[in-house]
Amino acid sequence: MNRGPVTRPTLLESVKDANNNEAWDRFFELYTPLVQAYSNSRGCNPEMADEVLQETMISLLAELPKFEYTPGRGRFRSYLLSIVNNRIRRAFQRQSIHQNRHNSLEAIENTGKQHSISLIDTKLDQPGSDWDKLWENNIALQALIQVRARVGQIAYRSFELNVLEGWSVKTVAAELSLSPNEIYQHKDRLKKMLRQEYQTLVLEIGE
Amino acid sequence: MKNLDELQQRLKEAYKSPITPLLEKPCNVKSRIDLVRQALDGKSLPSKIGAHLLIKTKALHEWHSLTRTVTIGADATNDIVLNSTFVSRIHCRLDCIEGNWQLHDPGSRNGTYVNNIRKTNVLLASGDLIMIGDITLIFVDNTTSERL
Repeated sequence: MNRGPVTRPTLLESVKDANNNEAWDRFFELYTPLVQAYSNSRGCNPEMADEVLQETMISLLAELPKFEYTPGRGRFRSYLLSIVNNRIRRAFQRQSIHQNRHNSLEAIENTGKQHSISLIDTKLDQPGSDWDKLWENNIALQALIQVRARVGQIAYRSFELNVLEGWSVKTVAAELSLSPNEIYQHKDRLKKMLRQEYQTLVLEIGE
Repeated sequence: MKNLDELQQRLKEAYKSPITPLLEKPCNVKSRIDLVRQALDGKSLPSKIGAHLLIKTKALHEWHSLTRTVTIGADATNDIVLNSTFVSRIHCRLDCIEGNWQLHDPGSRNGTYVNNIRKTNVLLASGDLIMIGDITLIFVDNTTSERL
């Protein structure tokens, strides 16, 4: 199936309806890896990263019905980052309170507070920032997942080994019992599909 | 993304990034959010700043704003009275500690469950599902910096 870039309504519009299960499933699927990877990169353990994700989604559930996406007037990714940073700070606060209750060492409180502040209190949504890179990487990988679901196993594996793992065409051809020409064909076809899927995703989730 | 080569480069970088192992990893937060959405039953979450508690039964859908310590139980002297045979007279208490809300169960007969785990003392996160007997409570904490 070939999905054109203008056929899907924007996801941000669709999730304004809290009863739209399909939109919420998609929203969750798209943003969960991004929020978790960012929380991990800020020092959250898996339990804290889950709390950050949960609190972020609850905030969005409350705020998105009021959200009006206007391209060029503030980016959703900046807004989402502000929520995630806020929730990471709260998760560190809770961890600090919890640790203090079970351990009287003053150092733990100081470490917890300093850690959260030093990692978060900077402008992090600029181009090239950790958040920005994770956002772009997430869209690229989500596009890859969509394409993988639409092509055969051999075609995907050929692309994965050659383009993503960096194997030579000769090695991939031998591994998958394909001709070098077939490897090039899979590569060209998947790259074009990926670009289309990437553009569709950008339209779907905004900037 | 301007061209195919740029996309290919981005994808190679993304493939090795910390996001890749998380992409299709099962996530138990999803089921919690689904339960919250289900409990809301099409109604909105409170937009008022601060912490709120939704009391949800078949007949009841009631939000309480949390501003000070509240007690929850079957006895009429509690701040939030829950009429159920599974609820103890004084079942649990919510205290605000450094801007965070803590649930304390002093020893209720049937226990207090937060996200399906029995707890006696726990700091709540926004979206936590609390089960007291057969009654569901949802804790939500709104902060100013997340307003649109």
